[in-house]
Amino acid sequence: MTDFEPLPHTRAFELLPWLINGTLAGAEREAVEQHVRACIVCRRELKEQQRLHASVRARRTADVSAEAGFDRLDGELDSDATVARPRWRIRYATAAPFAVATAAGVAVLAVLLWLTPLPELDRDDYRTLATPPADVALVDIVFKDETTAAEMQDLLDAIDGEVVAGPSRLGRYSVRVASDPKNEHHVDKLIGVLTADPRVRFAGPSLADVQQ
Amino acid sequence: MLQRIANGDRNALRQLYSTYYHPLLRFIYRITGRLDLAQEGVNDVMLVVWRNGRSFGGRSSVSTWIMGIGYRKALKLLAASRRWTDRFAGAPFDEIIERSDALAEQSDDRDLRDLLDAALRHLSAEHRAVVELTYFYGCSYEEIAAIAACPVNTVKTRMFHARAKLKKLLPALGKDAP
Repeated sequence: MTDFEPLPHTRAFELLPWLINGTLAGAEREAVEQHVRACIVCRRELKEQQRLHASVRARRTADVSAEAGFDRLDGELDSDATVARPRWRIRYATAAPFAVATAAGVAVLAVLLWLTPLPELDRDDYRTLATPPADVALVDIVFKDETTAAEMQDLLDAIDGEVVAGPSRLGRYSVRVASDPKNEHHVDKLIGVLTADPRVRFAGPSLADVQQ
Repeated sequence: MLQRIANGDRNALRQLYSTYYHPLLRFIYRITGRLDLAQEGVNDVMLVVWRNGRSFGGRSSVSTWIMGIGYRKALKLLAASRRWTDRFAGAPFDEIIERSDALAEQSDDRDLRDLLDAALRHLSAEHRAVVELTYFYGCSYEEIAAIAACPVNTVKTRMFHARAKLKKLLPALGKDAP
């Protein structure tokens, strides 16, 4: 004698995954098991799903250290994460053609850039948070249309720069770079190097610095 | 531990991070298909736990609560990345079926796993999550409903459709091993 109602086929069929993973319990489990014993369709499905179950469990994920991840989080907590992280690196990483499209303008671009304020830089809260200390400087960079997101990232890595704002409507990024307080020409030289770089259309002191 | 975290105890946060890092990383990776997004997602989840630990109401287990945050973060990250590119174009539908048919003759489980990766990419993120939570994490349908914040019938329906689609994509699943 049983204390459960026989299940309709459709209900038993949809519960098979949870019979397989062992989370069905009590009367529900017994009802599904009883149905499966009598139903050839469910027995065949059970076998297929057991194979799928085994395959899903056997899939591996890259072995990545938790320590490095926590160190990044810890650093974020220290800085209170109030300055927006450059998520464009992630979101734009595979979207080079779209990123290129945002870098509009051709010959007059540099002029327009100087005349067009960055909305991010005009906010008082931004100024407070991003006002660079003595050993940090901000530079503005516009990449060439054909520069891919990966190439942008390579260049930023090479100068140890971090995007703090942008892109503006015209494709301008505001980038924080290390500055040598003992060498007042350090940033000028860096801008010279950037200007000469084939991936860069324009580089100059940041409007944030100029306007202060 | 959540109480300690809510009180600003970084060591408690480190312990929790260490416990949940790999389960969360895998889960978010399985939904988004990108390791960089998964790593970002894990830290986003832990940031929420750090800031909102006090808001945990105890209506579910801590792990269900955390996986629920992970689920929502994963969907958001995926949506953001898809605004720019379709990461899941993947192998053409017909090609997977063709390869799976050929595989049926060989019944090689390792190849089946490779094909499974491709086939899962043809499911919606919500359907992939249900498959993963059921078959890898061993969650009950009630737990999945709590994680995905949806009715249990929705969980069952999603799993039903995911199975049907995988069955079409992977005829090899139905073949007996030698």
